[in-house]
Amino acid sequence: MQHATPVSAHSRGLLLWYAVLVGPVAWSGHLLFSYLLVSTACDTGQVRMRIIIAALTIVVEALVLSGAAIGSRSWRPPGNRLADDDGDLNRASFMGRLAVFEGVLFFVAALFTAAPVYFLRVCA
Amino acid sequence: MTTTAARLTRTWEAPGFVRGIFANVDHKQIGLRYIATAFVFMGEAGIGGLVMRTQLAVPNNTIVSPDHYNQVFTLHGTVMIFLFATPLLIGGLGNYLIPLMIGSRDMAFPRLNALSYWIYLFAGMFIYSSFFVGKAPNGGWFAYVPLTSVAYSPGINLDFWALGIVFLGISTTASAVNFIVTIFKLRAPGMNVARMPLFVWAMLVTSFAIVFALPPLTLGASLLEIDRQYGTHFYDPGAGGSVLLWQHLFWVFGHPEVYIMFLPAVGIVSTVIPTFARTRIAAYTLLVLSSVSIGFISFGVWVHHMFSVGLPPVSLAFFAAAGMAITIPSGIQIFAWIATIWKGDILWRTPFLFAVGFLFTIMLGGFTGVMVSAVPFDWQVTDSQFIVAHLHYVLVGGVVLPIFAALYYWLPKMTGRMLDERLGQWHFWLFFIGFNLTFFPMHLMGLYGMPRRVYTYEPDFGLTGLNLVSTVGAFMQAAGIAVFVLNFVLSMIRGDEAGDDPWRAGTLEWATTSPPEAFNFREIPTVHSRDPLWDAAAPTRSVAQPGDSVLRETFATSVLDADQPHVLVMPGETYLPFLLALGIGILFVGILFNRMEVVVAGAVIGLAVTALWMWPADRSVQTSTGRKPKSLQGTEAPATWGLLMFIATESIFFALLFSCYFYIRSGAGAWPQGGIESPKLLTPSINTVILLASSVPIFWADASIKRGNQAGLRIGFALSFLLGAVFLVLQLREYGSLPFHANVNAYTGLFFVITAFHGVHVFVGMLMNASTQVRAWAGHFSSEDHLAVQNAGWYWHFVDVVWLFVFSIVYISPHVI
Amino acid sequence: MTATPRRIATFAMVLIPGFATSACGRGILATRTPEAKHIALLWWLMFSLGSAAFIVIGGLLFYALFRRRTNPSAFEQRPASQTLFITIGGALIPLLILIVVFGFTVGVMAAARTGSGGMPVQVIGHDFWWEVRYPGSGVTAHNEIHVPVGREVDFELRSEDVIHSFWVSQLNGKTDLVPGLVNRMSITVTSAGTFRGTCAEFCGIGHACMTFVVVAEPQDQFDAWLAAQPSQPSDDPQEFKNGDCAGPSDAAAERAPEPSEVASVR
Repeated sequence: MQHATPVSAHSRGLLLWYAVLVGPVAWSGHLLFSYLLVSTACDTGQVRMRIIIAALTIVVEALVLSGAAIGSRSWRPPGNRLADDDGDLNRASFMGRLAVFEGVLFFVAALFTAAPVYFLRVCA
Repeated sequence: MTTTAARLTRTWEAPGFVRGIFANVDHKQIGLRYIATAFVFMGEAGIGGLVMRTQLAVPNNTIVSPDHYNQVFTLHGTVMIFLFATPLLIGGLGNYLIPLMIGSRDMAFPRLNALSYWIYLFAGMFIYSSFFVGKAPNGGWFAYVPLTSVAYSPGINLDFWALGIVFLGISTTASAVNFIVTIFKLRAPGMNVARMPLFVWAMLVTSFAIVFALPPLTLGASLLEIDRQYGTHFYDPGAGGSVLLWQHLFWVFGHPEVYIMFLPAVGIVSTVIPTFARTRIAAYTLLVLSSVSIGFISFGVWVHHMFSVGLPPVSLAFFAAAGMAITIPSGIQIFAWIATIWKGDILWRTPFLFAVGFLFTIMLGGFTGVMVSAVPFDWQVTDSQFIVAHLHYVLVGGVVLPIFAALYYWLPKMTGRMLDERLGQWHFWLFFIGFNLTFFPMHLMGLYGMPRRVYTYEPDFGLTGLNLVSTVGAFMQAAGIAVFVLNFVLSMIRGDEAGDDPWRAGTLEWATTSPPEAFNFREIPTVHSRDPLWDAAAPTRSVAQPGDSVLRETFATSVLDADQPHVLVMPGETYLPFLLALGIGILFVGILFNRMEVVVAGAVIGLAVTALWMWPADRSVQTSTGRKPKSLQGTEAPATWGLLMFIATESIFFALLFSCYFYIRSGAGAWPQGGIESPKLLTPSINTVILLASSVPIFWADASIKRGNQAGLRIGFALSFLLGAVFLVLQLREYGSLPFHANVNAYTGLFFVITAFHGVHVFVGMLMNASTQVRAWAGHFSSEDHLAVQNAGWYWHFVDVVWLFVFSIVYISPHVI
Repeated sequence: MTATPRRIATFAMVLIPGFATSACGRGILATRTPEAKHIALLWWLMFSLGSAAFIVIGGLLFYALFRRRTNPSAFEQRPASQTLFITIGGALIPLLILIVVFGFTVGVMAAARTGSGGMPVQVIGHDFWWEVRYPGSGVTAHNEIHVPVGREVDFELRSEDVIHSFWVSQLNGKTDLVPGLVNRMSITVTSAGTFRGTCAEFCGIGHACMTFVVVAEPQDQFDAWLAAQPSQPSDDPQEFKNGDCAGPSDAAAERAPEPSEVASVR
C-alpha cells in the first residue's frame, strides 16, 4: 500500500465497494425482473419466458461471480499478515472475503430463483 | 486530568430540570427514555395479550366482545412491533450503545436524535389515545383493505392507525439515517470496517433496511388515509383501484421489518456469547456476511405473505426460493455461535442464559420459517394458529429473549448497578417455560385447523386443552416479566456497584465509567483490533484530542478505514426538537379530525422551528487554544451523508409511487380510466423546461461560492427560487383547468397524488433555498465553508430529476404506451 | 442448566400424542383429497428433516455448552477447522436439505391444479356467510357445500365485500376471495364425510363465526340433494349474516354478535 499512488488506492477502494455490493444487488434485480416478467407470462409465452430467464440468469451469475473474483484478489492481506481472521483482519482483505462469501451465497440463491421456471407452468 | 474532566462535564452536561428534560440531546438520556417508554408500551400490549389468552382459555368465553377482541389484537400487534420492539432495539439500545461502542461522544445528529424520540413518544400517545376513547384500530396490524376502507370501517379507529403509522415513520427514518451516518463517520480512529463490533454491523444493516423499507409503509398508509378522508380509489376495485396493491406495499415493508427487529437481536447475541464464553467470536467475517445478506434477501420475500391470494405459481416459487435462501446465512450464524461456545470457557450468568434460550427457540422458529416458505404447506397454515406460533418463536424467542439478554448485560453500564443473579434466573425460567407453553401448542392448533384472529372457538373443536395450556403459559411469561421489574427496582435500591467493566468484555463501551459521563470518553481512544479491551496493548490515546475547548467536540473519520480524524463540533441542548415534534403532532391531530386550522397551526409551528433549526449556533466561539474549528466539507461532513441517505429514502418513495401507477395501470383496461383524456402536454412541457433550467443557476451558485464569490451564490439561488415558484404556479393553474377531481377513480387519484407529492418536494426545496439565501446574506458562507449550499443544491437537483420521471410517466406514457 | 434438554424431552413426550390425535381426527393431516395429502407429505418430510436438524444442532450446542474443558479445543488450536465447521454445518448441509425441500415444494405445486374439467361450483364470500352456487342447475345454497365423491370439483371464488379466505383443512390449503379478482381451486374428495370449513382471512366482527361445512357424498346422493334444492334461495340472506358461530349451543348464541351489532359496523 505504501508504494501505491493515492489514485490507485482510491480506485481499489471503489472496486471493493463494487465487489461487496454487486452480488446482492444483482440477485435483487434478478428476482424483481423475473417476478415482473412472470406477471406478463401469458403474453410472453412459456418457451420465450424460459429463454429470457435463462439469459438473464447467465448475466446475473456473471455479475455475481465478477464480484467474487475481484474480492478474491484481496483475500490475502498485504504482507500475509493476519490471515486467519481471528481478532483482527486487514480491512481490504475483510472486504475481499466478504465479497467472495457473498458471491457463493448469491450464486446459489439466483439458481434457486430461476429453477422453478423450468418445472412449473408459467401461464395457468 | 481532573480539570479536563471538569471542563468536559461543563461542556456536555445539560443543566437544570426543565432544560434537562426538554432540551436534552445526550444520546444516553435519549436511549434510556426510549427504553423506558418502550417498556411501558410493552406492558400495555402485554396486558392485551393476556386479555386475548384469557378470552381463549375456554371455548365460547365472554370476557370481551368480538369488537373489543379485534381492537385488542390489532393494538397488540401494532404496539409490540412499532412501539415496543423496534424502538427499544433501535432507539433504545442502539442510541445508548452505538456511540459508546464506536468511541464517539454522541450521535452524528444529536438534535435529530432528540426529535426522533419526541416524535416516537407523541406518535405512540397518538395511537394509544384511540384506546382510551374506545376507538382503537380494529383491522389487524396489517390493516388489509377493503376491510379498513371507510366503507367497512367508517369509524375514526383506522384513521388513528394510518396517521399514527405515518407520523411514527418520520421518527424511525430519522433514527435510521442518524445511525448510518454515525456508524459511517464517527468511529474512533482505527476502527475500520473489519473491526466494528457485530452489534454495530447489525445496526448498520438494520438502519439501511429501515431507509429502504419505511417508504412503502408510509406510502401505503398515506394512500389509505387519502382514500379514507378524501374519497380517492387507490384500493377500491370498484373504481379501478386494487386491493392487492395494499398487500404488496405493506409486506414490502412488513417482511424486512421482521429482520429490522431480528438483526439487532442477532447483534446482541453475537456480543453476549463471546463475553460469557470468554473468547473471541468465531468467524467474524461470516457473521458480517450473514447480517448483510439477510438484510438484502429480506427485501425479496414479501410475497411470502401473499401465497394464497391467487398469484401465478411461478411467482410464488420465486419468493419461496428467497425465503429458503435466508436459511443459509441463518445457519452460518447458529454454527458460528456454537463454535464460539465450543472453544470458550463458559461463565453462566443471566445474559448468557437468555442467549442460550434464544439459540434453542430460534432454531424452532427458523425451521417453521422454512416450512412456511414451502408454498403448498403455507396454503394450509397461513392465517392459522401455526403462524401465530411461528411468528412468536421468531419475535419473542428471537427478539425478546435477546432484548432481556441485552438488558441484563448492559443495564449495569446504564445504571451503575448490577441486577440480581438469582432473580434473573427466576425471570429466565419463568419466561422461557411460559413462552414455550404459550406458543408451542399453537403449532398443533394450527395443524388442527384453528384459524387465527378468532375471538372464540367451539368446544367440539377438540382444542380446549391446548388453549388452556397456552393461557397458563401466557401468565407464566407475565410472572417472569414481573420478576424482572422487581429485579430492576431492587437493583436500583440496593444493587451491587457494577464498576466500569463487570463482565470483562472486549468492546469500547466498557472503557467508560458506569454510568458513563455525559461526554462518554475523556479521551477518544485509538482502536487496534475488534476487541480493544482484550488487547495486550490497551487502546491508545490518539493524536490530537478533541474536547479541549468549550465546544462539544468529537472525531469524524473516514468511512472504511476510520482514519484521517477531523474534529467535529456538535450542537448542544435545544428545545427545538421538542417543539418541532409538537408542531408535527398538532398537524397530525388536525388531519385526524379534518380541521384545517389545526393543520395550518401545526405546519406554521413546524416551519418556524425548522427555520430556527437551520440557523447555525453562535459561530464566534473560539476554542480555548484560539483555533477556530475547521468546518467539514463534502464527504468529510456527516451532513453530506445524512442528505444522501435522505435522498435515498425519498427515491424509494417515488420509485414505489411510480410502481403503484404501473401496477394499477396493468390491471386496468383503458388508460386513463373512466374515459378521461390523456393529459395535455403544453403546461408540463413548459414546466419541464423551467425546472431543468432552475438547476443551472444552482450549479453556478455552488461553483461561485467555492471560489468565494458571494454575489454569484445569492443571484444563483434567487434565480432558481423564482423558477421554482413559476413552476408551482403553473402546476396549480393546471390543476384548476382539469375537468376532474382526484376522487373520480384510481387514475385521477394517482395523477393528483404523484404530481402533488412532487410539488410538495419543490416547495421544500424552495424553503431550503430560501434558508440558504438568508444565510448567504448573513455572510455564513465562504470558499472554506459552503456545506449548506451544497446540500440545498443537491436536494434541488434531486427534485428536478424526480420531475423528469413524473413528466415521462404521468404525462407522456399515456400517449405512447 | 441440564434442565433445558430435559424440559424439551418432556415437551416431546406430552406433545407427540397430540400430533397423533390431530392426525386421526381432523386438520391438515387428516386428509381426504390427493391435494391435501401431498401437502401433508410435504409437512412430514419437513417435520422429519427439521426434527433431525434440531436433534443434531441441539446436540452440538449441548455438547459445546457442557463439554469438559480440560484441554483446549481444536477450534482454538486451528481457526481453519472452525471455519470448516461453520461452513459445512451452517451452509453446506442446510443447502442440501433446502434442495430437497425446495424440489419437493415445486413438485407439489406442479401437481396442484386449477383445472376446469370438473364440476364447477361458485363460492361467494359475504360478511359473514358463504353463498354457494351450482351454475349447471341454478341452485344456490348457504354455508353448506355438497360435492360428489371421487369427482373433481372446480371452485370459483369471489367476494362481494372484503377479503375472505376459503379453508377446509382436510381438503386443501387456503384460497383467498379477493374483491375484484376471481380465484380458482380444484379438489377431488376421495371419501364421503362432512368437513369443517372456515373463513381464514380476518374479515371483521363476525370473522370467527364465518364457518361452513363441506358434505361429500356419493354421486347419486349428491344428485338427489341437488334436485331437492329450490332453484331460488328461500332464505333471506340477512339471517346468515351471523354465520353459524353459535351452533346448537345456547350459551354460545348469547355471546355471538347480535345482528344489530354486525349491521352497525357496516
